[in-house]
Amino acid sequence: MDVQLATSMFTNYTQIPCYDEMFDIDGTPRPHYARLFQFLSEISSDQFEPRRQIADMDFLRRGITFTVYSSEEGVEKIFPFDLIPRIMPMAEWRLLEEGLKQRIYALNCFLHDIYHDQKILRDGVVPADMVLGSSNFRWEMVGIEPPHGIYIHITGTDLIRDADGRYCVLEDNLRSPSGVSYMLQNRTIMKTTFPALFDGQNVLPVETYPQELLKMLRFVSLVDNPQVAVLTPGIFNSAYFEHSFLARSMGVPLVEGSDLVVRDNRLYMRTTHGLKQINVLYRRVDDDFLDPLAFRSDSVIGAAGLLNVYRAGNVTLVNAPGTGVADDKSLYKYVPNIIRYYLSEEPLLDSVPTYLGRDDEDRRFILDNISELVVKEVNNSGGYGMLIGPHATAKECDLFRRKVSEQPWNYIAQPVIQLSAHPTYTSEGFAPRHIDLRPYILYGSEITLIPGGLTRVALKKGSLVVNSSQGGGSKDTWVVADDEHD
Amino acid sequence: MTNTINQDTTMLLSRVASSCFWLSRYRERAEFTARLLDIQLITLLDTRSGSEYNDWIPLLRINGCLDLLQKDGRAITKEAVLHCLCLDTQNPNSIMSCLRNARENSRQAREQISSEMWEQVNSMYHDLAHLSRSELIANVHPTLQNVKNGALLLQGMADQTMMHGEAWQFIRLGRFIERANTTCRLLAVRSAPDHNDDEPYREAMYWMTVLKSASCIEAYHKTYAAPVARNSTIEFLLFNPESPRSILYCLEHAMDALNYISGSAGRRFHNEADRVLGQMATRIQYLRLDDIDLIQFLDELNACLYDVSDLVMQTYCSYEVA
Amino acid sequence: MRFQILHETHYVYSDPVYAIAMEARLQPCNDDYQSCQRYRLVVSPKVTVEEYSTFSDLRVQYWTLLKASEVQIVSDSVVDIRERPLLEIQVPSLELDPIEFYAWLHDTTLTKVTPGIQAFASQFEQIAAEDWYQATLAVQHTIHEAIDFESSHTTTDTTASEVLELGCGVCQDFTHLMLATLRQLGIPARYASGYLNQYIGKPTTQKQIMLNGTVHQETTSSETFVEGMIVPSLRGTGASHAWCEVFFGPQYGWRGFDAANNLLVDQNFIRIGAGRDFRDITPVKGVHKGPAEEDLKVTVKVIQLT
Repeated sequence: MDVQLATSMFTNYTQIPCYDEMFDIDGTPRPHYARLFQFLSEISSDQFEPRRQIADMDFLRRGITFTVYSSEEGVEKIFPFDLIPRIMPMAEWRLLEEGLKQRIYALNCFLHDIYHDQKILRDGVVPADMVLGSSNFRWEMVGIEPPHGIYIHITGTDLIRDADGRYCVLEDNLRSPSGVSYMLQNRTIMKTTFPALFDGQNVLPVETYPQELLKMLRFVSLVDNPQVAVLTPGIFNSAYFEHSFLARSMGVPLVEGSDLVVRDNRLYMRTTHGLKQINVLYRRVDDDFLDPLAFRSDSVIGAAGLLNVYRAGNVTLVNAPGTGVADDKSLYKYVPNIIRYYLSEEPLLDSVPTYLGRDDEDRRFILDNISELVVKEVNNSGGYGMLIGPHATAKECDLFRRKVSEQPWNYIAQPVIQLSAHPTYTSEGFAPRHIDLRPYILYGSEITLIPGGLTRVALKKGSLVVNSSQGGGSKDTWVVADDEHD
Repeated sequence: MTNTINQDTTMLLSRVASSCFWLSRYRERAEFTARLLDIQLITLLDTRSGSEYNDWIPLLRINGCLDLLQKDGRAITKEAVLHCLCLDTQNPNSIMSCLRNARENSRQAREQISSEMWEQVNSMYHDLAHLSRSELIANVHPTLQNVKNGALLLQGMADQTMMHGEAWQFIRLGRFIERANTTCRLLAVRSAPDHNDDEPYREAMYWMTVLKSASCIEAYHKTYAAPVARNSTIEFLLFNPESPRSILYCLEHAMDALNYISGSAGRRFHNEADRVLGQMATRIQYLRLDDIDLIQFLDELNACLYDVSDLVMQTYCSYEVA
Repeated sequence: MRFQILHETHYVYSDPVYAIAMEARLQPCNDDYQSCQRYRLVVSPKVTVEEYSTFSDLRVQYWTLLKASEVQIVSDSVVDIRERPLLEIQVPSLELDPIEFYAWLHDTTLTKVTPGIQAFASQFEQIAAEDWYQATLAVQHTIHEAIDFESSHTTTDTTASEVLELGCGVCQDFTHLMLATLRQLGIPARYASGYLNQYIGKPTTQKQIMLNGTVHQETTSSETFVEGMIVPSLRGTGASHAWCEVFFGPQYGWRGFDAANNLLVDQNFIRIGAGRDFRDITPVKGVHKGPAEEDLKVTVKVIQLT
């Protein structure tokens, strides 16, 4: 055993100051990782590297790529995939599941309220201007009753673990969360490249996600046996692979704006045998581009008059327009109170302490402690427009101090959370890299989750940014049932 | 809970139908170009005309890239021709352009075609996209073999992994329209009046190359059991009812696909596309070589195929909704 | 008084256009001083017209067309209007429900508060602290003086701050500037759309008696006679009109102010309704596909029936 360890890829593994998913503080593998650790300790980089290359080729062959337009001819790249799976014991997953269900249910109540009676604003639980003044609040949606009262059919909530291993919600993605196809493809490619890793592990399957999605989409229609379609901005969109993957896995058409026709207050698509009505549209197009009549008039990827069809109850839009107001980074601070307000329950999941630029006291704190905080733009995502204080130069800190002073409502700050780390394959063997977790939550006849999610990993040493646009990769995520309880 | 039949299986988006049709045409065109070039390279090994220009001109005419190559004033050398026919993205009919277009159309039709097909067309694209000019010249035969075989594999996958519904019929239609079209161009260029060789062995060699380019020299031998000659070659390529490369065969099968799509039982046309193709397919059934002025007929055929392709698009894809 | 309004909007395209989707906000509303007796909307080519109402209770008609070379939209309304209160009132600064009045107290894209707007509004801070009504009159009067009525310099995307810089605009520009200024002062204001009777002044003369007995405002129409036609001198006639409405508390409700004409909104004004700015209450808007040139003609006739 010792001999093997000496040559193992774990030889140079040095824990960094944060929660390590695989090892406890003494460097002993946690029980649910014991088997994986054993397996990986016995493998050499000569055995590992070819599999990694096969996996990469597999992604390329399947066309799971995004295009970087640096030169005239676009270069296609794959999102890096790390072959070491992230493992969660069932008990841990159950807690997350309950917490996420509670959170999504409450956020949906919140959306319904702010687009109807606005009780929560009148009761002063959430500042009115944070909602009504948000560029993501759609006045067009006021008074519209979405089918079955559901706004956020599909959510991808970002979770992180702090130094004590406590799960915290980092962000609610309520608009068009992407990445679920990676959750599924990572598993498929993992199975083909490293089947031996699954030996003796009771990994729960994720493959049924498209079926669950279809079930939900069919449920949220107002007609029997609805025609469902997925709306994509087109083949140049970086998530086109996912759009086509989901449409194909559900057996529903993948439509583009040019396929859609609004006639007689109904939505149709052009087929070889004339127009066919669409009853449920899973749209992967942002609100702004959904309907040039109602929103941005220069959009060519939506359907003119779609919002009116929706208002008339003749199509279900998934997710509903206007949900962005509830995943605003400053509103995030109020989600625990939103849960208490609608459910009279304590939130099951923790949040990260958040300071709002718009709040005088908070702003002073931000300006005084900027070099120790993460500062984020309220309406930006993908890891853009943010400052990580401890990693930033004095000049960058000054720039953000000025930004916060000039547009306080546009910024929030949070303490730097040392995201948990996970062994990850690098050129120097296995090394700890920071990760997060994005489970996908479906809201139809009930709120359901597929056991697993997308684990994103910051491949750059020391980096806390897991976004794919900023050098992040992903891992397969295993929820494992405890053998003894089965 | 009982599962209801998905209505979608009987329904095809217009844009996707068009992509199925075109991905298939580009697949066929890539296969044809690879074969044409491969055969010519092999033939030239022992039948050089002494002028590189004369060796390559017919090929460039068939491919339709003669003007492109001459426009730049480039010398017509083997290397230039190889690059133009294989890798040049300026040439819309180069193998690279065909594979790229086949792939982009496959992407659009991703919800209809099988994953095997997508991965195949994607792999073919990446294989060629990563090939440099010098690598191509060093490995030209294996490269062309790979394209041919890859394209045939893709065709086989379409037949064996897709539902044989409307989308598949559009793929079939595209394949046969394109093949009729390429055979027509091959014949038009190769039987042009400027070709005249008094040497009988050269004449036989010439028409053997034509048959090989259409991948049917063995079928020809089976049919005629006689030396290769001009008239029987042309007759074979136009009228043979059993060769999957003959114009007659292509038009009959294209008609069959079109009948499936329009839902007609083939007894009467449903739309202009049906009618125009049906007229030509029926006419060719009862023609003999003696009945026609070959060049004029090939012109008519070419125009007809162009019209049919256009009419199919108008009828099923870019129609006006009322 | 009873008015009939004929509002015709005519789009002609150089080439046929496709996937046309349109909305009309042309239906005169019912309120305490106005009742709409008839509203007919005729669209040609013939289409099915549907309807919804917005957060500000506006009735919106909408329709789609698959293809057209021209679209004509004619609305025909008959509206009865009673005299609107014009008497001067005293309105000390009010505390209002910040949620109910949110839309009327905050800026929008077209009424964005900029340093220029802030500077312009600051001259009214003193008076606004004392009396909202007087402040409103002062803002209306100042804008009327500062801005020239000229139609070719602004578009439907021109913001209040740009109007201030340009020094000219049309009725909607006057209104946006007034809205931005009042909202910056904390006075709830909304964008009203509708019509102005173009023959105002022939039968009626608007008189506004101030409490101290002096005549504050007197409008006598100065019609000019050109080639046998009455040419109205008022701005915003012959087309849709826009003005600003201000809330003076539950006792007095909303009152209208027309900065373009420096008039108080009286029974010669026919209301369609109100929104946060022009974009909430665009009389006719539409989108289409196809690269055609668009030619738009709008004519409005306001006929006084009684």
